[in-house]
Amino acid sequence: MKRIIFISSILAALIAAGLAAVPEALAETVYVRARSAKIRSGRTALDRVVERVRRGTPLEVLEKDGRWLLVKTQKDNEGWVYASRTSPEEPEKNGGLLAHIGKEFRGDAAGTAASAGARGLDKVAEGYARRTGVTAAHIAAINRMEKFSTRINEGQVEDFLRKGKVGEYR
Amino acid sequence: MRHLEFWKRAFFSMFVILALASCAEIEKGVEFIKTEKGQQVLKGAGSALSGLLPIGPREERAIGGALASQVVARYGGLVRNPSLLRYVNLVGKAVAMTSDRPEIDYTFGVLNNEKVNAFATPGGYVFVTKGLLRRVQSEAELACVLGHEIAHVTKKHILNVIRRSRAISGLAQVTLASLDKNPEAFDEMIKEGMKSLFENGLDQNLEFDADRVGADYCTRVGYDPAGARRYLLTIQSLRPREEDAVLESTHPSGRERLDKLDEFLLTVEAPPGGWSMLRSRYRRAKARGRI
Repeated sequence: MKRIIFISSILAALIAAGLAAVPEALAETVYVRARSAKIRSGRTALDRVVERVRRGTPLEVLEKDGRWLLVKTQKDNEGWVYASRTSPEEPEKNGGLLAHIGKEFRGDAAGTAASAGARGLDKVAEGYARRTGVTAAHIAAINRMEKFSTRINEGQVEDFLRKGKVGEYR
Repeated sequence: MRHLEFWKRAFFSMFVILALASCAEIEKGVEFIKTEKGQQVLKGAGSALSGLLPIGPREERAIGGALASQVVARYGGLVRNPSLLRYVNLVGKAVAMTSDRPEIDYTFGVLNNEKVNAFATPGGYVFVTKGLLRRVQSEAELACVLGHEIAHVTKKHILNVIRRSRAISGLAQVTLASLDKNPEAFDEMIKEGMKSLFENGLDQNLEFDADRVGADYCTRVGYDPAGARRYLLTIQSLRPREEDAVLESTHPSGRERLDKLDEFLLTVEAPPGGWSMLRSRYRRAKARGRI
């Protein structure tokens, strides 16, 4: 009896390990490497958006067709994504060795945290500019430049690409 | 006693199975290290291990802003045409959104200067001169120029020069507070950055890298990466009064850059339907911007 239990537990462990390995061996995963990507119901930019996904989101590839990939998202939605917006490699979150191998350690503080909509020169930068004789007019010009840029959002950029028929809008 | 023997065997077997599974993961790690990406990560780890202080995004932006103030002061200030500025920002942000650091708040400006040149400072400050915009002939070419500059930011080329400088070695850590309290150290750091921008330039391999990476970013959007080639041919053909002496002193020769870029372009396959060049839209943007 004990021998049966012993052998059964070994077999169960082996089967569990095998089942865990098989899906990984067969499925191809890509990651969103652009800031965001649209999953569409068809292979054109005119097709309905099924889901929007952010950078780093893994997508299971079901089919490839030219510039488009048929994928399944984590929410179980299926649709087409423009291939150039994805990469087989997971984009870096915070740099460093273990961020890739261990996917746990957030080592390098020179990472990629969002700047939360910075407006104008930082106090340290402005202090430096004044110390080195940069005029108030030039400092104001840089501040205006930054504020102008932050008013241009992702939607406007996508609209610009659509009007120019660039990339997925071609 | 027999109970004990049974459980000993069961635990030993489970241990063997777990060890075998771990070996597979270790093998994956070893294979990863053999890839180019893996080697880059190891180099990064090497830098960390050699004692280079990390620089966070807010500190990066402070450094970039300080350098940007020098660029603007030296190159005649910024052009205030909203139509032109909007266009340059739209093209620049389209490239930046597909880059390797799309989360940065990139900001794009046009310098009021007739010389042909472009600059990028840490934190995403990117500038092109009026002179450059006059010579560029298509939106794809502009995208490749901006892609090159964005690549300097995403690859932290100037930031790493500063990280290796003596000025930073005196700081226990790089924070906004420590930079604010140590203006002499901050000034020395910016001086190092300025050498790369205006005097010696970066290591030429970093310039080749920026050409290639910038062109790659453009392909991700859908712009013709040959725009980068056309731009390099343009700056090779410049008359002395048009060319910025700083551009010449800080970059490798146009011939070398073309050769390296061509190696990359040979590996790029055009998508079905081709790339976008957008000459007409660029001409209209120039006209509205009075360039």
